[in-house]
Amino acid sequence: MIEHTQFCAAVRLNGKLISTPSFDTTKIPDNAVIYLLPLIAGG
Amino acid sequence: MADFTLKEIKSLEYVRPEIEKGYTDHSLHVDLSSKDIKINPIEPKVKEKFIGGKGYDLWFMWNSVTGKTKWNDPENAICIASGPLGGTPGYPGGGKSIVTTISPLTGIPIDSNVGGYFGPYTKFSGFDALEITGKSDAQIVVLIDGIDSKIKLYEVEGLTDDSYTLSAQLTEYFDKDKPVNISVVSTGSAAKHTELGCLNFTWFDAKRKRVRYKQAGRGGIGTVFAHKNIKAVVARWGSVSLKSNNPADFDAMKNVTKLHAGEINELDPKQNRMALVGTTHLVPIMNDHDCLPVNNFKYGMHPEAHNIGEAVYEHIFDKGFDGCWRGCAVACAHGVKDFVPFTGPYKGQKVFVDGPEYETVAGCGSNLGVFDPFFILEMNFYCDTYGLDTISIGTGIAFVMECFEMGLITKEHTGGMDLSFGNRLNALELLHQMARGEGFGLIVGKGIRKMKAIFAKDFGADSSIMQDIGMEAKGLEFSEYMTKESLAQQGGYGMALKGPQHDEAWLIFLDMVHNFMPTFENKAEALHWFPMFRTWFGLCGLCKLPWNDIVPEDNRQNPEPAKVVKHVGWYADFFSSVTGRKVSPDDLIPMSEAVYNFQRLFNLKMGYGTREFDTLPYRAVGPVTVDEYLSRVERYDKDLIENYKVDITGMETADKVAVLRKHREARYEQLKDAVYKRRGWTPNGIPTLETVKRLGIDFPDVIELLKANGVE
Ligand code: SF4
Repeated sequence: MIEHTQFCAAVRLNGKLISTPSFDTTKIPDNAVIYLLPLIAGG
Repeated sequence: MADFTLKEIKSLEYVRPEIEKGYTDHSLHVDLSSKDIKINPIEPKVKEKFIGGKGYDLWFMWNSVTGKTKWNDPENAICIASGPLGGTPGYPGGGKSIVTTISPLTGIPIDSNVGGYFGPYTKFSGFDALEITGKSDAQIVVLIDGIDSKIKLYEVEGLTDDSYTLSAQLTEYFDKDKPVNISVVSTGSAAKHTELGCLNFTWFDAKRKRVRYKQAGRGGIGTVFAHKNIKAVVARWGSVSLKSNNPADFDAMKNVTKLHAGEINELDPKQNRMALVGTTHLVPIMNDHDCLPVNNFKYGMHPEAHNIGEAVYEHIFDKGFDGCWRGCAVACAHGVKDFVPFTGPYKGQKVFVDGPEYETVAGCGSNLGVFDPFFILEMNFYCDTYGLDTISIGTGIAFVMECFEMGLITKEHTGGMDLSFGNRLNALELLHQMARGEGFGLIVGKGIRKMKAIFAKDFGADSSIMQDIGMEAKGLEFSEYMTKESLAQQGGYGMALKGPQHDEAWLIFLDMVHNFMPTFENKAEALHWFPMFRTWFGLCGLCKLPWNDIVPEDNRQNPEPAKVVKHVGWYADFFSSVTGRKVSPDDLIPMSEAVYNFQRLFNLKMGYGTREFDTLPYRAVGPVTVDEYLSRVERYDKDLIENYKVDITGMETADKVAVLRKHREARYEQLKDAVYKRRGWTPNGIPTLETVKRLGIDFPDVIELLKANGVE
């Protein structure tokens, strides 16, 4: 489960976009690289 | 060689005003009726109050038009200005221009923020702002030649209308040896037949050795341009360096430029990857959050949306540096090489497509029920070269398609075309008709507000349903975000000065996903701060994407993460270092507030600018139809039960739709009250006397205007 994602609507998990609706159900592989996307007031 | 002639009809040699701390303190005025060319100093009090960019544009327009001026009157002005910080190479987003005019769609000032080199080149040529008024009898090209210190007017014959070809031909004509010295502003063949005309602003891509362009898209500025009989406005300037703006504190400016650019270079690859995919990363994210407009904003997601998102465009975009200003580290202005259109005058030829950005993908793709990335490229290409705004085109055709599927219009009205959702060929045919000035495309090109009136009067269509599903406010088509589930974003669109465009406030995720602003007062505060801060970029000649599309890694720890406080501090430093006017982050909002309120007063002057004009179509607020309700039944049932304390047991869906509507519309009105109060406006949405005095915009004609509207 992806955690610590306040003000983050999506993350990049090993380069792939994962959005908040899928956070609870996304399994994180070992040694995964996760970046939080700053979609806070964009557009 | 190009088969056209330019005949010089006027030439003015001038002494180029030198740049001092980001300003030339002069403006250029061209009257196309009399062919007068004037260079005027800009008064210090105008500079202090209006800052530059949009502030200058609005000030010149205010003095040019009366409350009765229509878009096609000769006194309507097209104003273009960068800003004191514009033209700083290497500062991310440091080279934008703002264009304003009275819009054919709305009757009030429209402003459009655009890349390309024109604004900075015009400033370096000696002019903080350009104002064009009047109307020429013959087709005309205006040249601002900062290298030779000459302004020239040419009558032109035989030059194509297609912006794609015209931009390249004029670039070559005016500086064959150094095309990078040229920036061309033009529109296209559809601008004169429609009210959705855009302007293309070029820059020369030295690596690809071709002319590229970005669009001042919104509100029909290209239509005004074409109506004035302007074929192009060209700026010519030579080398640009960090010293070109002659900053007050060069070292401080260099330092902040390095900090901001360095952070973007480091973090963009980890965050939104805009240097690779532009804004197409938004497509899957919006879709996952049920916010991607599908079939005229009816639905928010579609199983095929991944076909038109970053995963696909990353592989289609031509690799290489894509900054629409020199050295912009975000470099998000991507394009596609060797695309071969399958319709229209360029059918079968290889062309370069500048884009698409998120707005074009959502507007001309998902919102039309099409999930084909190559179709979107073709729409993008023809909109640009025909001089059409991809957002108004997308939202407008989506409305037509829903009307067609509802039977409000039929093949009898469309010239035999099936305009159901997903019909790609006929969507493209509408564009070609607009360019040729014929067929049903001419009606679509009038924009949604006028289409609603025509469909009702001439085709007998039901006005009330069209009012609900026609996604326009103030006459301007919505840009491509779904606001139904975010009250704050409803305010962001409904109370935006020029109409529903996201550049004033984009609060969907803060509101809907993060629940960052639970109360009306929280929302009102956001609808004060964000529009004001976003306005500031347009005063200074900057792009706002580098502010919050790449953020510091520790931003989450800040008590106000949405503001990206560290960057706000950098912008204050940037402004101080260039202009020598020392400002702190807290000073930026009052700077914008004066211009923002002035624009609201401008709307009032033009007969709008009060509460009734901040109205939204119901589709922007909640589900119009039963199937729309059912597509998010859990959310809407919960809303009725928890937020409005409605007992829904045994209720028919149609009744739930009606009850929800009553509550949501009332809630939007409550939001208006809170926002007006926070902004210092009357309950009717007019800045109070106290507000205009506090902001120093209490000019005699402003006081008179307020008095005429019952505010004393
Ligand atoms: S961030 Fe993108 S749109 Fe803004 S100036 Fe840079 S390249 Fe142009």
